[in-house]
Amino acid sequence: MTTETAALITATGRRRRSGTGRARRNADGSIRPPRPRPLAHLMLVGFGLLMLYPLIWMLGASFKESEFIFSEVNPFPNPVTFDNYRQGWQGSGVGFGTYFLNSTIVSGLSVVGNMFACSLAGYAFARLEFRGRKFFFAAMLATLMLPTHVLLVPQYILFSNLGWVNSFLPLVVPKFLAVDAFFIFLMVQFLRGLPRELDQAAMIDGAGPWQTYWRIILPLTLPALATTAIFTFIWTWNDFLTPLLYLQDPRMYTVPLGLNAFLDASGESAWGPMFAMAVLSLGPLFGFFLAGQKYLTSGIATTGLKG
Amino acid sequence: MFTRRKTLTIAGVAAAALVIGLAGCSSEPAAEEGPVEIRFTWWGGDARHELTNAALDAFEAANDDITVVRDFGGFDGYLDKITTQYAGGNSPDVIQLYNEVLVEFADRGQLYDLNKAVDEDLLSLEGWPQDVVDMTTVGGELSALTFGSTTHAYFFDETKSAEFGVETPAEGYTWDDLGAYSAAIAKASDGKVWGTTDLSHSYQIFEVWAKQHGEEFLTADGIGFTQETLESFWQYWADLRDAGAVPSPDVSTEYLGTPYDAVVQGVVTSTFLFTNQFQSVADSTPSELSISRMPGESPDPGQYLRSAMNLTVSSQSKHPEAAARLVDFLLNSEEANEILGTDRGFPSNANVFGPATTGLEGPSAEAADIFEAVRADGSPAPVPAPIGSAAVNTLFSEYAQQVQFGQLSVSEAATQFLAAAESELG
Amino acid sequence: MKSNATTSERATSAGDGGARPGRGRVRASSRPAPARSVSLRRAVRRNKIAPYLFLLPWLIGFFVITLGPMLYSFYLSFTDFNLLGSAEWVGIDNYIELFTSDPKYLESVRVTLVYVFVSVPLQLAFALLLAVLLNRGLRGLAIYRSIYYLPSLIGASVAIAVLWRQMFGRNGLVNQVLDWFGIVGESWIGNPDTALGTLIILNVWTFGSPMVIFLAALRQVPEYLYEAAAVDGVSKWRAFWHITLPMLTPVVLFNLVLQLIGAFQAFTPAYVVSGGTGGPVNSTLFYTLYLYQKGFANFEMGYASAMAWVLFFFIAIVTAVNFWLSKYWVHYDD
Repeated sequence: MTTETAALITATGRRRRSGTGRARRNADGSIRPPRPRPLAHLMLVGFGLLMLYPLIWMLGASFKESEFIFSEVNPFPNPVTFDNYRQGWQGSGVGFGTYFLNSTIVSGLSVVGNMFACSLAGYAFARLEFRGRKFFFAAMLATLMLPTHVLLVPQYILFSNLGWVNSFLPLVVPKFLAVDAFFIFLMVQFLRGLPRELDQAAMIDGAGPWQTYWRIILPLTLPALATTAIFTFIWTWNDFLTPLLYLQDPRMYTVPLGLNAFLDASGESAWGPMFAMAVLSLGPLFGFFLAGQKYLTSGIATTGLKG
Repeated sequence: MFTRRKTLTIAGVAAAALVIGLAGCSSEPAAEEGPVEIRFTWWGGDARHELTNAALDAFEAANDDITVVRDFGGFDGYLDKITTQYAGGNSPDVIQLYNEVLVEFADRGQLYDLNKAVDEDLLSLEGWPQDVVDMTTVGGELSALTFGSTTHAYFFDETKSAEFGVETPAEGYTWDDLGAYSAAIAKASDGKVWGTTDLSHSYQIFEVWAKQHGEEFLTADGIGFTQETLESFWQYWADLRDAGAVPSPDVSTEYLGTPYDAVVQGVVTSTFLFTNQFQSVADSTPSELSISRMPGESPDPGQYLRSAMNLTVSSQSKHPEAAARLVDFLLNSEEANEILGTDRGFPSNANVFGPATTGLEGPSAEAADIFEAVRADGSPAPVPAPIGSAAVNTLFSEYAQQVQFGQLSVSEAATQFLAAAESELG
Repeated sequence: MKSNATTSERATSAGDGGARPGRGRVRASSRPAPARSVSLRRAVRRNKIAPYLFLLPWLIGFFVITLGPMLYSFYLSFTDFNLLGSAEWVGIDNYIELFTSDPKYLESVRVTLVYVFVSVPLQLAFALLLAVLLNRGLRGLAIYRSIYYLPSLIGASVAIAVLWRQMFGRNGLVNQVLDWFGIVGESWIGNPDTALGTLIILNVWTFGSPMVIFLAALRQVPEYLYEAAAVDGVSKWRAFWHITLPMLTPVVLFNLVLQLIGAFQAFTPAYVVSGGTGGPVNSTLFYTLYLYQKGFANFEMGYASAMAWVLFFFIAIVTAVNFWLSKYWVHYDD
């Protein structure tokens, strides 16, 4: 960071009206559409394929008969069978329909909880003045630093005493209490990247912190909120350990518990059905990501700045 | 102030909960009145869950005063779950537990003494061989009963062996025969495929080796073998490695936990497994497989009827009578064993062996023959090893690996392992 | 309308300034005029309780769910606790044993440090590179973004162990490719010299999370900065270094701090790929994997808790240093 940088940004600080957020402009102001660039596409596709190989292998395995899954190297199934999906969906008597529903409930509530609680806390830490702010901020970060394995037992004892074992409460309630400091810190860092005068101006105009939060901060942090939503959904959906400890009735199991129940390292594992259900499990995750990425890349923050 | 008091309260609650949870061990079992709910936890794969659920349905139909919550899952994370629930004073009532940790639980008073249930006529030991009962007796208490027995076996990929033009060893073969077979496969395949995996890291194999030498791996008092026997075991594999008759150490390490995968994936043409695994391994490859006893079994057999897993009742259970009735049903009733079959291994109760094994065919039937042969002339089962044996098993594998990768010589590793193991068991 | 008022305020205040020379910090905008700051202060004073209300959910969560168990585990670190019995006070014995008579512990520290200092910079550089590449200017970007994010969706399940074997096992993709060139590869995950490397690649492979965060942050860089730069004939490369990167620094700090914490606590990759052993020959024995082995496999939860608290203080120091250093390179707009 040098004076050169500062000068450059100052120089570019002159404001201009722009049309759509997406199109690039030439120096004369005419809109420049994205040029087709075959080489870039080729590289991106090639590299993408390499990255996706494990997933392609898994997809192939889910259509293989069990005697061919590990005994041949070729990832493409021959013959193709749908038995793994049929058998896997039964999910040891309870059924993956139930597991998917449970995962959707838990992940959905967690998304609501995290977006609500973490953005409130993030706003307080980033923008409001109060006694003990630095201390609490450090404490918040500190909660990230202790390996979770040593907290499992004490937390289990706590929730067990509250009578919450074998319910979704130990999975969901912590989200509404902003226990996941990752997202608070995320909100803080995003907010600190925004010009402060936006919300200060609102405050001067007589808006209270609540109004400022609702009308200014929330719309401005939409990309961060989308990030929070996407990660919360994916991480909660994939979480294995917490449901493993707290859910004792198969009718309440989530998808990862259902997947794990196919595998017995000491005996017989149903790999085909496991891969089939693992592929299906990617569906909701991918769908949520696709829906969320629209907001990730929405230009709201930019437009907000430009008015 | 709010904060500190709150904190202390929470910590206090947590500590109190632990005390209460542990105090639960000694609480008097409640009298059986009206319908009770007990929780049964087991691990397994899809097939096992289905069979077990069916057996539990049958149990509930026969005992309408008991409901069984079926808390099942995979093997991964199983122990974490049980121990955490124990620490929270919320353990399952009936638990499927594996051998390596049985003593850890029993020695700390966490398992209900099933002898009490026997005395109360809730649980029968009729048809149970005494040495099998002794296998799960810890400190004079019947901590568990075997829930399926199994034994070691060696299996061969007949299809691949025939392709390489190498004949698989016939029953009664020695360790040297196995070595010669493996070398022949390696030669015929230009060193791309080997006859057997390198099993020097497996305490389960060494256990058989030690018994064949008239010793034990672990006894109730600790180490049961001489350094000489251990060195002979590790030297055997070192010689095979030097001769290029077994895969390089990195390939062996890849298949450390599941050696049979090396056969399925065509890396080797034989390795060891437990008889109850044979059917599923046979299902996962198009090759034709054959199964036989371990090498070197005559004249001094080292194989024994090994507990595949155990059924226990938690000392935290509020309904030990109901739990004992479930254990009795699963282990001793013809109805349950007809349903459960041999998925967990063969029943230990001779009276239900028939119902469990009728209609077996293909690989399962071949595995049953091996089991029967070992039952006829096998070595007696070892008594439970002391606390710390789980750590010793890990150490065994670690020192063997250092030999494999050339970091230690056989005798160095043996000396260091013995010292480390003795301090774990001491 | 409130929002109108806001933007007009913004427009006037933006008129009067730029960066103050010599401050060494980039400022795309100015501070409010002094007269306004008086009324601002008044506004702030009006709302003394409000901050705590915003913080209330977190405060409850912190004191009820997090702090109690943390303190309890701190207490356990001074005890001999086998999970199944009662905890017995042993003072600082656990801590002494860690540093004086547990060579495996020191090995786990070494493995973890290598992992942290190689994989975190690699993953972040990779995530940033792809975020910038996939930000704009190419057709079908949404599709590429999704494809590149796919590996991060799978989570660290047991399936990963199998898939990684399909990549780096003896019969894996890497060896198949090497085979075309006549090279006979052995098992990359089974070799103590390369096993840790495959786990580092695994971490880089799931670069999706930091990439998404970078993407979200890229949208906060005001468009007009680039437009003005383009008018002034600034090259894209320079624009990246002088506009994009400075504006991204708060989020770079975020990713750096959290990826460091995450890498120090990395557990699942080694757990699933090595089957829980940390092998071959302890070459992937991550700190938390060893902690887990001690706590749950060897029933030494007191010792495991001591390990956890040593790591806690170490991470705290690293993070504090990070924040202290951030003063010199992170640009905030507030």
